Amino acid sequence: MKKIGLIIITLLAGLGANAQEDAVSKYFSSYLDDENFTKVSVTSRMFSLFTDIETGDENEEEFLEAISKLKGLKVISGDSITGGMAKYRSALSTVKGKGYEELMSVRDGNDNFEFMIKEKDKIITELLMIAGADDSFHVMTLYGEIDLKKITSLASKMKIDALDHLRKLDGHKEDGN
Amino acid sequence: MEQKELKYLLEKYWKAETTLEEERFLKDFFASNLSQGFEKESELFKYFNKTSNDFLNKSFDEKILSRIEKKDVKVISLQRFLVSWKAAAVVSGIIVATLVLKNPFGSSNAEMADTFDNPKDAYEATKEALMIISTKMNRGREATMKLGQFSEAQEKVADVDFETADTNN
Repeated sequence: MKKIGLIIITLLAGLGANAQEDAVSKYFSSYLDDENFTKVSVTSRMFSLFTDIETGDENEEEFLEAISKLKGLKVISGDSITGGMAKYRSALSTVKGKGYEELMSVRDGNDNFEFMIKEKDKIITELLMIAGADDSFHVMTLYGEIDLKKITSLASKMKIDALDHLRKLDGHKEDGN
Repeated sequence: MEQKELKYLLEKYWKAETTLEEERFLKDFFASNLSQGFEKESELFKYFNKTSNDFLNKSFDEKILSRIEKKDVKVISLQRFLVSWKAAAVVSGIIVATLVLKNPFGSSNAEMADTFDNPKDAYEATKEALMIISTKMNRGREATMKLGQFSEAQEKVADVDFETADTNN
């Protein structure tokens, strides 16, 4: 019986290792059934449809340009949850050693976030953000060809106070779901 | 028996040079005689006489045999093990099958699926997400700049900025 257990454990471990190859996808699927979290997935097909969206706004054009080379987006977002910090830490340790390079890490009291990237031939192919506070937890991943400058400039281009906007977005998302 | 002769024989005995006959003679002698000055040797040889009658009794054979038979039982259990191996193979086969079958309909499908059917909604969601990312990134940059710590991470951002600035101009 010991051997059977051993075999099963080995099998599961093997499968686990397989699944961990794409840490975020795994994370994403593990939160799929959790109603406390907002899950957003946008595929490359959908991104290709964005080009058809007509906007008269200059800012929108800017934005469309910034996302033109993106191939995917995944978001797990939970506000007013419990154990956000624990989830944050566990997410960080899940991602560790999966080929991500730390880009920046901010620990500011109850607001912690970390940016990580995957690079290939000097092009950033994946941008991962993990953010956590006591009552919130967010994971966001961008796939494709990522232009950090364009993305960082988005917030200022939109001429919106960064923090206010963030609050508005968070509130809006809760309403929307 | 002369004391001298006895002493000589004993000395020979302790050197392990006595013949079997001499040893038997010593045993017999101490069994029947009490010789002064040789009380210790006398005790020893009496003990030898006593224990020489001890043989392995029948239960020894039984014990050994039962142990050998136990080994047989182990062999049987090994054969059982082969059976359980088959069981293990079947069980693991089922596990693998369920996991493989489940995945296409489960997580990977969900991973692939778009959350939104409408590009407009997806666009808005993407915008929101990018705004959060952008805002946080700006905050992180501001914080590092304020601190004046040119960490490796910040340098990376700066590098990227530089490259894109070049290509833009």
